[in-house]
Amino acid sequence: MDLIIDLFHVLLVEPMTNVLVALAWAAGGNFGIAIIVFTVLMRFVTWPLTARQYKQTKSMQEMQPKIQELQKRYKGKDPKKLQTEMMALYREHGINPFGCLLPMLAQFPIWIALYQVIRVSVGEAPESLVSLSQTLYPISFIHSAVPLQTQFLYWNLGQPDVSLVLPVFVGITMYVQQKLITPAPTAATANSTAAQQQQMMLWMMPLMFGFFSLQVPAGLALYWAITNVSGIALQYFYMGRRMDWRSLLTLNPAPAQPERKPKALAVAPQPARDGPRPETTNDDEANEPVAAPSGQSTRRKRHGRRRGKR
Amino acid sequence: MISSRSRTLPRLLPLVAISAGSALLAAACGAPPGPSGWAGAQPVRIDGQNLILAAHRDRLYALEDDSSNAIWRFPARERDDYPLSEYARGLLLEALGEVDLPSDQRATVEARMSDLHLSGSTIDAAKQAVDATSADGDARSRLKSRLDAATRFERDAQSGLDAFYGDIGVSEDGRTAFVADFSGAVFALDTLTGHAHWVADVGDEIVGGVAVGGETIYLGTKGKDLLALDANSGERRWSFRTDGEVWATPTLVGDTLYATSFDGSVYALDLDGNERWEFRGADAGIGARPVIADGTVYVGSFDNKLYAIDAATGAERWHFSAGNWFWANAVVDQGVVYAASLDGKVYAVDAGSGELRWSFDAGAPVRSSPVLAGGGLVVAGRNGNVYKLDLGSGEPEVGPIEAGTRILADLRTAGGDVYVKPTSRTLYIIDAAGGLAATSIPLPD
Repeated sequence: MDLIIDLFHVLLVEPMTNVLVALAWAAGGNFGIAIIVFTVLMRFVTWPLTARQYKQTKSMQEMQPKIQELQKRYKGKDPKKLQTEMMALYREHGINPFGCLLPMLAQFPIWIALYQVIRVSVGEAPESLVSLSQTLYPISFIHSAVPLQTQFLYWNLGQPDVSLVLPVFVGITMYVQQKLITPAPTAATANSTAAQQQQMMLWMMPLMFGFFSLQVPAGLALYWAITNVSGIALQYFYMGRRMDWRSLLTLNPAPAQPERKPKALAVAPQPARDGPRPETTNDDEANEPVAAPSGQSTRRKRHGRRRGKR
Repeated sequence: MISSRSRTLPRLLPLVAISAGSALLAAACGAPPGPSGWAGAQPVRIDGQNLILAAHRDRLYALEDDSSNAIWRFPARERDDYPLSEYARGLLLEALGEVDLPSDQRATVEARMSDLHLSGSTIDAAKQAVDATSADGDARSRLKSRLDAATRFERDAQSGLDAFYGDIGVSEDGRTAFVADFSGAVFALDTLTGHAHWVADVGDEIVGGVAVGGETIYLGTKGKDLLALDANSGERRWSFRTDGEVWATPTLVGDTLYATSFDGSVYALDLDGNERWEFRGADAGIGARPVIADGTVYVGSFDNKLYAIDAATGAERWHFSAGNWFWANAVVDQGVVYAASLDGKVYAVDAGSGELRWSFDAGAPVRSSPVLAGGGLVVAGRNGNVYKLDLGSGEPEVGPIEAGTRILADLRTAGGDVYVKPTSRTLYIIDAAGGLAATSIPLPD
């Protein structure tokens, strides 16, 4: 266990601490800018993992109409068949049901290390500086950046933001990010435990982190805020055309309904149990009208797409 | 198998999110550590009586050296029993003197104001006495407002204490102890009673301690200022602005005040706050207190170097490099500078040339300043181990003895005893002349 902790520190915490302090030095001692740049930098470093996660999420969202159709067809009648068909659908689209979890899990050590780095670096108490001295590489300009200036705009990054600006901002941005990656419940799943848990988490996480932001130094709250904002930005650039931004304003989204004319997307009725599977649409067709996870109208989706192009 | 996995998926999402949040918080153990304080113990001799002032976090204790009994604790447990500072009471009485009152009424109010405590019935009694006077309404309101403001200020100063870090300054007669809290509050306390002579708020956090020079005390702040306060009132006499935070206690030698700053400088000032010279040679901040011996200033820096600087001109004479920061104060004795570093080593360096004579590996970063005692050098590592080193060879004569918890506070010595204050609520008194026999004194709650 000690070996794992040591490796965690040597391979992640120490290099990241030194990079952060070096950035603070480059920013003329402005630790706030260093945190922002560092967080964005880390977002880029972890982009391959994030991209995989988004890709899986996007694919899952694209499949929603087909899943809804399957659920409509088999729910309460033949659950076993439903599961078999859904797994076949996953395979068909090249989706691993756990595919979006693994990249997320893989990023945890990095985010935990980043949290540790900020925690050690931003500490205003002199004790933190003793700890920091043991983490810095023997590079003179890095040592010359210490102690880090904790004043950024009107925040003291070493103390909690009692003005509530950062905690509220963290809560809002986290809600937006959660909302964007949480598929709206389908008609079939709206009352399921999982859907209710998802909706609960949609609120719980922003509230929790907003509350934590009140307790911890503003530097950490700034890090969370930038993490959320950069996450939203990445999601926009990656999935912007398919995201229904208006759904952010709906507190309790109505369950998604199957589209009235889902020609390009709906799973065609299967003629026979083992009959030929209908040809799936090509990528362009699949991407065109579908997009949003919540069954909003086609007109609304097109509007969303136009906005995304601007 | 497959269907089970797909059923589990939606349930996993929130669980993963909760686990992630929990792991994130558990891994980081919440917020960064707050200030805990590392003020060392301060032996005081007053009227033939030996006292030990020892701080633990945001509390200060006065102990009898012989019995180790606690004489007082600051802040007091009950604000109702703690008198308003002498200086604040004096100001209130001064304000009362400006009001035209019959002598009997004046005497009544004076008596009430002289007995003001930080909270409780004495405040109401004083206000009632003011209300009962024949002074006009405005004058009565002003007096009561000042009374409220004075008691509130000192009450808030005590309840807002964070932690004591720096040296405890003691007046020449030993009757007054000057302590600076991380919150920015400075207290002049009667060493026999623990009651405040005055309370001041410098407006910035304070890590360093207080240097005493007659009627003036000197201290640095995180607000980059070096301050001179009146020792009798706490009022500011002058301030000197540096380019970095001032974390170390200044050193007063003759008519020169030496101070260090996180701007990498050593400043020499006259007693009016005018700069005599500035040494700006360090490549990183300086958190150690300058030590002056034989016309030379010795101070270590966060650029891993120990500097020897001409005390008259500020010119560098030599520097010595270690593997990590120098934060502990250097010790100079018979042409040798002893300096401990956060690289875990204690170095003995020739005071004239800066050449290494020996080094000793303490096995842990050393932040607490070592002391000369019992014919050796007593040094404590952050891991809680205390050694007594041979001055000639650096070999440990005795030790380590283990305090069990971290030691960050500077060591202090008096009469052959070394006072060690680890981060736990215990004070160790070590007999440096013998085999480092240690007496542990648990500090009261």
